[in-house]
Amino acid sequence: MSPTGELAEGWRYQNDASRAPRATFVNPWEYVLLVEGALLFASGTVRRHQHDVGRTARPFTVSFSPDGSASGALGEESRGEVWVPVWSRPNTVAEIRQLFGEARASWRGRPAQQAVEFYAATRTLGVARGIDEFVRYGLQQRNGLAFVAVPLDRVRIREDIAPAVRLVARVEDWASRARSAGASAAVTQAVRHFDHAHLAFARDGKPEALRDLLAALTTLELAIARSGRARDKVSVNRPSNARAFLTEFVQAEPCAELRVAVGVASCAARPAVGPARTMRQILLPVDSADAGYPRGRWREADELETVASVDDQPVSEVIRAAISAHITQRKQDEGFQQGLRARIERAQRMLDQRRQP
Amino acid sequence: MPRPALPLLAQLVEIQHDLVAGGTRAVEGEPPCYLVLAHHGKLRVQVRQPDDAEPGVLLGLEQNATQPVSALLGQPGGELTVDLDQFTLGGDRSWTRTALALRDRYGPFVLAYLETVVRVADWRASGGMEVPE
Repeated sequence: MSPTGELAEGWRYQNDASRAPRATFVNPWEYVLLVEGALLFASGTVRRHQHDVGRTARPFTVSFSPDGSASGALGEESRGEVWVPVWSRPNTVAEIRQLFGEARASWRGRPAQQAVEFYAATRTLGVARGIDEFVRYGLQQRNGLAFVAVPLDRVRIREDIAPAVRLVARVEDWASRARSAGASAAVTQAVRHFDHAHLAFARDGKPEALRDLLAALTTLELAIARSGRARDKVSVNRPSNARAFLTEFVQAEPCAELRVAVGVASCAARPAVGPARTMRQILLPVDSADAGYPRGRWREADELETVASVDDQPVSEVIRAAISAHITQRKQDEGFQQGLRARIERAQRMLDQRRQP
Repeated sequence: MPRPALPLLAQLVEIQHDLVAGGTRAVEGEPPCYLVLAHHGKLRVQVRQPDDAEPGVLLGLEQNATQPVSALLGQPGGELTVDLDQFTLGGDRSWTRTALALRDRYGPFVLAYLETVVRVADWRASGGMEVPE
């Protein structure tokens, strides 16, 4: 029997001495306060704030996402998620009513409508100050046709990682367009993979999660390049400036692998005819922007294994040649050579730090 | 960038709270502070900026920063310490609680009328107009 059923039974037999009520395991006051508190979820001004939501607007409610919890599953029947605020400072009822009426969870100036946006809002001061944490519930269909509130996560409001999570805004718009394309199973799977990494970074804000997010974005770009229909629907992603991303990685852990990766990414192939091709344009099937395609354009699928405008060489050969050319160029760069000793010493110190236990 | 007037507004709120806490002014002193804060139509029940960027900073005000304030409205000058805690949900001192109490006491239309009066006075003062007899 449910806890509330026990409570009801206790009330039924309260005046019958021969049928003493069994001990209930719910405090009656908790139940009364639960009912009173549930009234605060009345919509209020939420409808106005979530004007594009396209569903019933309730405070602190977003669309369901299977990511970010162990119990979520793709395709599961759900009526959304409720993010219940938890606070420790004393409030009057009027203040709590104000809190629920406004239900602030803002990401990029808009109300959060998905779990990933709510996570990002909690990491970027997008929620009311004074809330200690949110408990994330999914309204899932379980036990037959019944919908129950399944606890999915507890999210502490951590304000110290805000700058990192803001980087999400630079990559998610293009991924949203790719999601709407839905051209092939491979693209759908890549979108799914991106969504998972997207939410993981918005939730944790760690450099490892950011690395996984960028890797998932590249995988998605490759999947779209291989799908003819997707290429027609989705334009080439114009990558964001790398400086903010690199700063985040370097601040977390300056590692030798990152330096090597940045160095390789800075190389470019310079064919005898035509414009230089950056490492991104070598590794990804995209051509540089021109008058007809200001964002760049996808290359054809049969050209994926070679870089057509670089003398029809295999990709590996083009990368090797690009790095060789880069080294030769740097050898002739007096400014670079003058600072070389200092850079080598800095790299040596970094390696020594890594060797220490 | 925050408007230059906002630190002054916050100082006035600070003055009001200090006075109320010190028992030197009755609760009736709250409407002027509310009107000073609200008469531009941006801040009323909640005090925050649309896109908060860093903790401990609100509308250009830094927590625990000190600013000198000259004598104002018959009150002596001095030095004020910015306390953003009152703009956080709940707690012992809550601006939201104060504003909601005013709304419940005077009603939204009376407050809106008073806001308009202060707004018009602000325009007249900024325009260098004579104070009417």
